[in-house]
Amino acid sequence: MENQKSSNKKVLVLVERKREEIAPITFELLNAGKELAVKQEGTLCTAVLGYKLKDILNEIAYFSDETYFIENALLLNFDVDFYVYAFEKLCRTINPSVILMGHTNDNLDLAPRLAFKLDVKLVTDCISLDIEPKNSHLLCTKPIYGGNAVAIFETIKKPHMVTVRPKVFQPIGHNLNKGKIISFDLPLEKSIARTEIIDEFLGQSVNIENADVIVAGGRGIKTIDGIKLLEELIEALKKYFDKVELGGTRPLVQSSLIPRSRQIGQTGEKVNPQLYIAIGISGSSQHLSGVVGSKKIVAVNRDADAPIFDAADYGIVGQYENIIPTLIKKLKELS
Amino acid sequence: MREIKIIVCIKQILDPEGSRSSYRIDVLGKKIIPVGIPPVINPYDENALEAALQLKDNLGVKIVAVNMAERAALPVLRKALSVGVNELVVLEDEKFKDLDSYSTAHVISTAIKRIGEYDIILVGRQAADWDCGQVGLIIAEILQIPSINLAQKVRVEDNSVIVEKLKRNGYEVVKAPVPALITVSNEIGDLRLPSLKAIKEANKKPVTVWNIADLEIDPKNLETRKIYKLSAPPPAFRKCVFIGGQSPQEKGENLAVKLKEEGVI
Repeated sequence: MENQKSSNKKVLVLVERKREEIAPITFELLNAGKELAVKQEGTLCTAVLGYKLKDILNEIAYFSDETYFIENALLLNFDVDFYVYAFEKLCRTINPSVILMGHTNDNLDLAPRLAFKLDVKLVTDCISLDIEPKNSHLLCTKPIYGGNAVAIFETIKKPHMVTVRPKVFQPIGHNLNKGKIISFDLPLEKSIARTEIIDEFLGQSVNIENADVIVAGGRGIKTIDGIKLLEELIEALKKYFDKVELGGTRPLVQSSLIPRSRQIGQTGEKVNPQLYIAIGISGSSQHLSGVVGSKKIVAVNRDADAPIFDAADYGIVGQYENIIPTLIKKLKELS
Repeated sequence: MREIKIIVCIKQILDPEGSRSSYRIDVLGKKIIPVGIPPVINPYDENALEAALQLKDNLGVKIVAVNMAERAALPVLRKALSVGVNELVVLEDEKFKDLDSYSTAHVISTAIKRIGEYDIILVGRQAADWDCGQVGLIIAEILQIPSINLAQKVRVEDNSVIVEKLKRNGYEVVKAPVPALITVSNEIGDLRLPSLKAIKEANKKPVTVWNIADLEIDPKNLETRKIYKLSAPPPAFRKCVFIGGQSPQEKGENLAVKLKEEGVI
């Protein structure tokens, strides 16, 4: 009896791929999932969808009890209709109690459709998860009103389905034992697709999520000269750190001063570098939600009342054009 | 070429640009009480309106805006009419209060069926209050039409929509036959401003109001959001050390020294 009960409680993590590698959010999801699996005496499982998955499967099996995979050429790239179809079939077969997905552009497409098909409620962009002890509903914490309030949603019907905000949970460490790898055979027909991807334009590849230091600009940076000054600061910081990247807020992207792949905040990247230097950023809650995980935050802003200073460890009030050049000079001098 | 009919879904929300003190949190009542901030059209839905108007700039297009609310803020919604929407349909009923994403999509898709023939449905990628990002795609599932998420550009060619769909790194060009639903991201551009003349003329444009009985929806089929707890966010989580100096230049130098002293660099 007891065995049967626990076998029903599978926490299923959808493995996020970045080309042929496992994306970092996967290990964060696994950590969130493990906690839930322990709480309900269930198992931690993973699902991998894609093509030529051998290396990924052999790696991910060390992090989960059971790894289910669907391998098909039509799943090579993320085409949402194939992914919904395949993942729905897999979920109906293994009947998990919880499904965890990263809150990524692709899953923003997949998760609402999948929830509709499985006839359950989805909670998106969660930062904390818990099991209600009395009725074992899932409690899903999510910032609302741009981070000005926090709501805990309660989902009742299984499978509980959530997307999890990146950079909130710590990544999981691996198991000593390798879990089972289970193939799930599923024929896919091209006719499933209701839309057609006719072209693809990949932007400059940016590795902002793994940066040690991010120098970010906001509305206060109005010109390309301002960006050049930030780039000089980045060069100076490379004396101290390996990976130093440029980032920015949404207004900076909209004025085309930086590419969208460098946008940080609610609809951009979430980051947690050793050091985050915010220059000319007022600190809207939408932006701050993307940087709260940073170890140290430095803010330079001319407005002493700007909310960014409430989120910063070190602050300078003043015009950045007058401050950054001497900061750069001193960084070069110090050893 | 025939006239294209576009339906744009617009939600009224509290101005998301308000300061933290503009949102008073009623913990017991599990709701947000606005303090001195007006309702606005959700900024992402304004992007969806702009997408519709960009199509109207070049093609014969009729735009119908649809709003669902327990109490519609008509002066706010009229902005849609003043920028070029032809007709406003308001779904207003106290039973529409605090609905969850699925029930909201149920009400709106019922109204869309009642509006009749259409080519394109545009919605914002998410509402900037609850940030769920689900209603649009669920409407498409209920109506059983193709949908494309996160558009940064939309055009129409023959009987298809061709959409630049945001990816994490770059974009894809995705094609779907009409009727289709598209969720629009802010990259499409801000909503244009209306002329004074257009603001005056907006008052003459048709506004239709339907309640739950008009839509023949059984209130038993509607569910509200299940909120277990609502709370204020954690207070300022860091203590800011302000770096002083006789001049901005000196402050810059002092910052470098401080970061070094404290082992940050």
